[in-house]
Amino acid sequence: MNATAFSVKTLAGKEIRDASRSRLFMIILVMLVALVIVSVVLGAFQVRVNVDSYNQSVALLQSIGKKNFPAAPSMNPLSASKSFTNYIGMLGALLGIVLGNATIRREREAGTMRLILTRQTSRSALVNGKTLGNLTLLLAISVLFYIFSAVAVPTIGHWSLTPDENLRLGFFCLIGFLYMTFFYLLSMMLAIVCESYEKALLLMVTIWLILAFILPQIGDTMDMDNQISGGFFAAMGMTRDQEKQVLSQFGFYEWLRNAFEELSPLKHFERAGFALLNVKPGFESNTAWELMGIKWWDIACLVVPNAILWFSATMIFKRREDRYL
Amino acid sequence: MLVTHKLTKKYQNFTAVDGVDLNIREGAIFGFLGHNGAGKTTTLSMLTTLLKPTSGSAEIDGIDVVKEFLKVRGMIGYLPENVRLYGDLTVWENLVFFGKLSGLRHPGDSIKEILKTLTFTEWTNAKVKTLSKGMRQRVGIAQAILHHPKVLFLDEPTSGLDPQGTLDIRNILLKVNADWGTTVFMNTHLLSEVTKICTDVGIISHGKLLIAEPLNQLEQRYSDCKSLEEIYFQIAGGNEV
Repeated sequence: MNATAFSVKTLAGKEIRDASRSRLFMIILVMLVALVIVSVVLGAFQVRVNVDSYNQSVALLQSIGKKNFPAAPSMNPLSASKSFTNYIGMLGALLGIVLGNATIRREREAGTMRLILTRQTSRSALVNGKTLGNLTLLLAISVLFYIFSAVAVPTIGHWSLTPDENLRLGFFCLIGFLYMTFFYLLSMMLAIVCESYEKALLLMVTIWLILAFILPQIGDTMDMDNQISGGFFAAMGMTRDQEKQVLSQFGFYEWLRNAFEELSPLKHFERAGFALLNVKPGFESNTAWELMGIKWWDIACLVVPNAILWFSATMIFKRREDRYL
Repeated sequence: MLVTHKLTKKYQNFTAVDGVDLNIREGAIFGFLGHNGAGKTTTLSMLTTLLKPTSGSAEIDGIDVVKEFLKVRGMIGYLPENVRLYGDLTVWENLVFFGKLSGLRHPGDSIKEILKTLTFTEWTNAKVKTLSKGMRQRVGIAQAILHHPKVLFLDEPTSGLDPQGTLDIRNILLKVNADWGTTVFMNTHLLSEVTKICTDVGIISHGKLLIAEPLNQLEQRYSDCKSLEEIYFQIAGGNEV
């Protein structure tokens, strides 16, 4: 391992330790974990109720001598993890924001930036080390949620996940990680760019509200199909083709609505996530890998901004040499 | 060991350091004197690779501080003015962290050696925030010399310390210089410190280097002056340090 890689590793390790000592981070993490545990346990119980109900029906039919049983209903055990989307959408993003804002702030407030930058550590190694540490934390949280779901559904729900369902769940957690990473990087970038960290945090929370709440809400409100519970087009007894025909009359309106949603990382996370978890109908017959291909745009809309933010943050930090000393 | 050529740093219309030429020999203890805002810290920041010069160059042991800044960082130790470490970490944890960033893969032995040298072993597990200023300054020096640097840069190392703390720091610097042959570059306001430990002295005013030579040579040239203070005022002007 060369000197730069060693510095990056050292800085990453310290970030993880610092986060574990941060009260705010731990509070948000505990809230997130608690919500996820409760939702997964409840979801797994729901799966169990469905399974038991089906088994009881079969037993009843058997007891009265029937030999033809109804096919097992679609249980969709992955729906046990459905609430993840909401919790990661809200608290996962907050975790990213807290970590991103604190990472540069901590050194500046501690007055240790000068000491670090006179070591065998370049400015880019400093940003990379800190980012690596924090992303490791976010990834660990995602992996933990995956393990918890993968264990809870078979043990509590009495329903074994197929290898493909496991993979779907894994991909879903990975996309959740990409979503949290977006907010971490944006928050770190603002902390680097802004004069004060309070201003950066305020700006970041405002952006978070816009990206994660206001824009998706505008998109949902503008969605014609959402105007009536159960769906407007379904209530009108219209087929999918008829629905498309009607919507084609509102080309600009639909474009605008879609544009609002495209701007929101939460929407991209939801679109890919709901398809993977079978929450959105129409993807049941696809494999996990196929879904990653089908939803490539939503995944790219999380990966590409992350790469741009990481690169920009590093470049800005490198150029503003006397700003952080 | 440390050579600068027309070293200059400008901030828009303000020239903080103006064409400084220095040549500090290996093993010297160089005291860099000047009024507040004279350009001492900016010069030190350029030499420690924190700031890039606007023009001119600087080399440490023949290595350019801009082009090969990572190599230079491996050769230097640095103690900023009012050093601030991680208060929530212990002395040991702070030193492990900075030791690793200095390139030491397993800094444990080196830390033990330094803490013994600084007679600081009993505070190894104390959190830095619980230490007095003088003690923190000692930890600051420990982190700066852990990797046995060739050049040690210090910015006002005894600023705000009581007489005992000042004496301790002075003894540590003399020991490091004598035992390891470390060249010491020290920004200071305290002329008494310079006379006690420095072998060479430089005076900077309004960004320009007025003089840089061995202290004994300077004292001979200004033999009519009773003290370094008088010499300083003759060279730098003004009536206060």
